[in-house]
Amino acid sequence: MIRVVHYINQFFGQIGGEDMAGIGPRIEYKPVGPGIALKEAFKGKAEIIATVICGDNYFMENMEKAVDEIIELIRPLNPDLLVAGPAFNAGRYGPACGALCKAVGDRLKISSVTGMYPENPGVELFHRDVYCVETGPSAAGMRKAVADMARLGMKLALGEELGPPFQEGYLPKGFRRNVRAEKSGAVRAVDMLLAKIDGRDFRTELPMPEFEKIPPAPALSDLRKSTIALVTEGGIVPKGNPDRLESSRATKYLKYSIEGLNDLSGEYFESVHGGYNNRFANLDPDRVLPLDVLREIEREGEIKEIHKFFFTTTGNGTTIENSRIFGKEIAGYLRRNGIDGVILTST
Amino acid sequence: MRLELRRYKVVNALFGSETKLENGTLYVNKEELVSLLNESGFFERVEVYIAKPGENTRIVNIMDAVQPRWKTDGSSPFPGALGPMRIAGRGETNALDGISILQLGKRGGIQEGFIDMSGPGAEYSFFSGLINIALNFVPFSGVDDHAFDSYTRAALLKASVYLGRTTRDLDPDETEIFSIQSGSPGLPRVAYIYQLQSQELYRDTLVYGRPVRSIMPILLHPNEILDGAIVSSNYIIASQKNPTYFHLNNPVVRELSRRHGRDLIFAGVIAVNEHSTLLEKERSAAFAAKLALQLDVRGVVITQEGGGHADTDLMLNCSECEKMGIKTVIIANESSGPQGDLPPLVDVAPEADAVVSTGNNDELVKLGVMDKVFGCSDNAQDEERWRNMSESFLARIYTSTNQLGWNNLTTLQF
Repeated sequence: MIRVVHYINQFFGQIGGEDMAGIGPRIEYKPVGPGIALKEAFKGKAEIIATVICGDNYFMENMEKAVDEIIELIRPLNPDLLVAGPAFNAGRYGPACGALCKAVGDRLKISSVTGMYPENPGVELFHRDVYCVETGPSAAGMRKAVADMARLGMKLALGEELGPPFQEGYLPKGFRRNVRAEKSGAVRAVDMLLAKIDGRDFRTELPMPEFEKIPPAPALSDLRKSTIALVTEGGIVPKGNPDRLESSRATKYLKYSIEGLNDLSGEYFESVHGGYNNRFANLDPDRVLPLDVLREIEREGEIKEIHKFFFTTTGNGTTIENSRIFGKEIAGYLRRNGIDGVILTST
Repeated sequence: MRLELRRYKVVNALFGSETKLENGTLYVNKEELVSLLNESGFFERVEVYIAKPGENTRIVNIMDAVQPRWKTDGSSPFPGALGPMRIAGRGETNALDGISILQLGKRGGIQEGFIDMSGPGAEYSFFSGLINIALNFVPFSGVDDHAFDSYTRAALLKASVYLGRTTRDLDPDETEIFSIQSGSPGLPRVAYIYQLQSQELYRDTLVYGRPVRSIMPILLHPNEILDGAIVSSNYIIASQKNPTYFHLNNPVVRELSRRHGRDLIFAGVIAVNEHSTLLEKERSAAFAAKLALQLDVRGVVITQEGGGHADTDLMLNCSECEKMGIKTVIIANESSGPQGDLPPLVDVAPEADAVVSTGNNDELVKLGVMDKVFGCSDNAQDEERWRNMSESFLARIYTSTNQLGWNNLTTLQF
């Protein structure tokens, strides 16, 4: 028999509504609220040994503390599975379910499943870490949600191989894995084209990734009063690459001084970028980081000055997560140091 | 235009005193083959190996692969690339199945790839299931890259004809007829936009022997492709290159030809290049869509070779066609990272709503340790490293995520 702990909030725990959202975690050794339907859905193959109930506000306002407290309630029970929710589209309940599922996996090494409406903020926060069954927006979808969670939860507790999300009913965790199709790619393509021409249903195998659109900053009002910094993803570093910038899939960015330099010579600088032919950049690194012409412009007074440091990384195969972190940190530095504009070169 | 492809099944290959095909066994006179391939004396040596499915062998430094071919009228099966120009796609062509000829060579700028003949790595390359005649071309030191490229390619094509010639007095096991002459008018007209990659030395694709670096889109008859009009000179990331063998047997061309007159009318092939600048890409895509419109088609399949900025060509070809009301399906592989959680392509278009994925290059694959390594005889240390390699990104396994849709590998979002 699979031993299950069920987590629900104060509302589904039948303690109260908003007025009771501040209550701390408590435990009951029986199914409560949606637990009754969950118990039925297990069809005798799993039993709910305890229900943990916590107020949504208590959880969200003291997240670390609440997780610690609930973990300590669950630990001695030694269950095989945690079922959290379903949270439908409830904006505090969803993240609480996600956080708790992740924590029991990380800290107690037990399986877990939750259920949410795709737009619940808990999905965005935790879909990579936890199995989350897709539910409707409200408790009207309780029966189906609980049945799906029970089925998936039992599979997880037994360590059974899971099929893809659209078969198993969970929201994609965002990991694309290689698998075999029945037909070759060419045959699938012709089938898909004929379906598309005829207006029949077809399923793209590669939904377009969504790239964040960054609106360009407004133009500088007066260049003559502006301090300009140089930033590049072109892999320009001091010769010998003393800080070991990666030639692809960079995990860091670096900051180097150009104070007193009028020109980047190939004697002292080089490119370590692995995504283009570096020969021309190494002959004259100004081709990637145009210090020489910028100095001329500075001398002519067209800009106030060039910032004394430049930033560099390698954009080749570098993850979007890392790029986002680099961008935020570099922009933060530039803002703190009164830089008005940036020349950002890419390769 | 009518092409008769006469197919001969090869089930075994052995070195012998006479080169001949007998009861499915191909006998190869090694000395005669080597002296033909090195007539010019350009190479210090040409090594010839036979690698068969199931053997504990890893073939490395693969440049290209070709099928043994023979035209029954004695003309070259690779017009313009080997021998004089003539329009391909007509008459009788003999092809040996179950066997390929591999061109091996080591130069800067050639991306190394490998084929395992057994073990888990063998599940990913079509060539692991073939008998491979592997030709390792070792030049004298100091030779020019252009010369190395043209001598090795010429030798590979000559080897194809030399082995293909063994069929000249034999009846085929199977004959296929290709013709898109007739077709019911009620069926949807469909074309194929065939992206070729031709950018510089070692990054070239040849149509009738000419690199297509600067072409505007051109219209080809499907038979021309199946009969040797396109030859590869492109030595990019191993998983995503289109070897000559695959151009000759292009699975999209074969599938559209097979269904011509039954499910669709195959109106033609629009061959385009993956150019290096945005202006050229835009010009090419707009013109390709215009050719599709002129062919009066309702849909196109689009394929690519390589990745990175070639994704932009895919997206432009797709959106230009869709803007003209022509439906599109794209075939592409992915670079979604080892965990499969990174954006699979570097460019996107909202119109690209029908994409066939041929797998993620970045997935790590376990490999078996091998007894033998072919293609690395000049460096014992490298040879040892290749032999003991126990895992690899799929990107290095030859044609594993081929974007002509050769294999049945795909990805699923978990």
